[in-house]
Amino acid sequence: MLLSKNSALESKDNEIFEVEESIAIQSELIKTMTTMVNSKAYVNERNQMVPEARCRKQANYHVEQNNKIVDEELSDWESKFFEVDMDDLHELFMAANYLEIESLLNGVTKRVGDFIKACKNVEVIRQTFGINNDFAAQQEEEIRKLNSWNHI
Amino acid sequence: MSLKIMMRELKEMKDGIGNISKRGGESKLWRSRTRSHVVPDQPQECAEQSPWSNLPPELLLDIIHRVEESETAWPARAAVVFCAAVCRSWREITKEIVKTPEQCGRLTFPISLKQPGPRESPIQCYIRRDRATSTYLLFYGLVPSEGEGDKLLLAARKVRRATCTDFVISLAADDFARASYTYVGKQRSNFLGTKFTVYDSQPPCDSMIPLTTHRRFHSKQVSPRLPACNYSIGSITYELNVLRTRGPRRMHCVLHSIPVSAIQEGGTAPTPLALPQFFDEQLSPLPSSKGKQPLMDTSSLSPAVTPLFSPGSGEPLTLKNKAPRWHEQLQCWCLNFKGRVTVASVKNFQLVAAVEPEHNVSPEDQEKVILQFGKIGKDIFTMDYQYPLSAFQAFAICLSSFDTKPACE
Repeated sequence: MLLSKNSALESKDNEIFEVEESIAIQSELIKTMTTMVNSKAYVNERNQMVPEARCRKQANYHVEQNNKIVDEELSDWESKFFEVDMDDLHELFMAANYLEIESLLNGVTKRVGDFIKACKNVEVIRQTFGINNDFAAQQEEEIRKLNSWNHI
Repeated sequence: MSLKIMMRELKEMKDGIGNISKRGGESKLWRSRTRSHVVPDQPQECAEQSPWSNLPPELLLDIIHRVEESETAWPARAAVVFCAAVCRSWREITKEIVKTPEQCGRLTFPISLKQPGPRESPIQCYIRRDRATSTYLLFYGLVPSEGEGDKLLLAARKVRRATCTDFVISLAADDFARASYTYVGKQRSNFLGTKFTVYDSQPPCDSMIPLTTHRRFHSKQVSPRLPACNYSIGSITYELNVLRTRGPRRMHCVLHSIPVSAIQEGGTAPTPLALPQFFDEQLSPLPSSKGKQPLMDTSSLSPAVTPLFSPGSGEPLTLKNKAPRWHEQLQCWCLNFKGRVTVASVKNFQLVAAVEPEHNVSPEDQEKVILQFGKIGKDIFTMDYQYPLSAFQAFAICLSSFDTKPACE
């Protein structure tokens, strides 16, 4: 069994996480930074990270768990993991995007898509995501008319 | 929220990182706002914007793309249309993502009904006739599903006049007003019920069709909201079977708005980008569309100068019905409808391209059934159409089958 090396990653708010290297490099960003700084030694590499502590922790958590659980349990675990409110989901989204963690990004995007699909109409989408209607009055009216075609 | 978190967020404000809410307390307020689903009546300030309204475009594209890919059938596909109605940025991105029926085989926005179908396999619909109200409804789907939940595409109402019959075609089943935004076009028969003309409320993209102006309207000033013209886009003629027996009648369909080149190798059919009554509806230009002309090019349309067909590829496409074979044992005329038509009827037909050798159309393309129509039950008919026809054109052609008089039967 290979000795897994640990990377120490420091987040912007100065919290330090120790993660297995194999997990840390699931983030494309960390992978690139690590190779750029020191091509040989991965152990105890210190990298300055930008995101908030909470995002970082959750990103790590996800990646870690992802590697441990078998497939059947994974989807259950994933649905629970993503059962967060819109604020947290957004933070996860930004963290996954910044750190370039593809699996996490896929999970969040899917979750957001599921939210959209569950919305019964446009107004519910706006309320769920807190988005303002910025159409001009005339365009808004035309869209409303066109959308009446979509009601079955 | 803890002091530490508030300090952190203030620090991040300074660094200008991310799209988080500026005050810890604010985030809580927004959270409770969404949960109670009450939209407060407050002036919009930057600080009150949800982080979701400033998503990086590439992330929003990814989200909406996934929704579009997974919701291909109606009624679930309404989610895609909702995305296009949320706000301006969402609308732009959704319209970038949604492809034409020719490219993806799916119907999404109303304009999809005016765009050519896919090339390799048909879009399958059915028509329900209501004799009591003289209404014909076109639905998306193989056959009527239980529960009446099918997507209505177009509706037509038969209006008998002194010397002709009109089928008024609309987006809505309860509104056939000429001036309504739902008006799409019409199909008019001659007195004998042997010749039918299809009119579109918007001019085809390539202005190469004969323009017929109805006497009540003028072509020069066309308000974007009120289609003032009907543009003849095709005509259908029925001929008696020569032997005057109960043999199948012959159909001929000339499509003024579609050139023969559309079915030649590398050819394309006109693909409108927006409905005229919604001038703000312009989709992003498609690489496949031939003429990216402005939606309402009224300056080029005048009754005196109607550009006729240019030689070669400008010639209009003509369709003819596939000749059925006589089945000796069954003692009837037969066409292979591939299971989509199950009741014998003189109304049933298949249309293929009518081409001459000089048109250079491959044998495979000549064999393709571009439009198929036939009965499957009392007042239920299937309609399968594909490139280069659009749903609107196909529907209008099929309606002629309902109105042919004894003169050609």
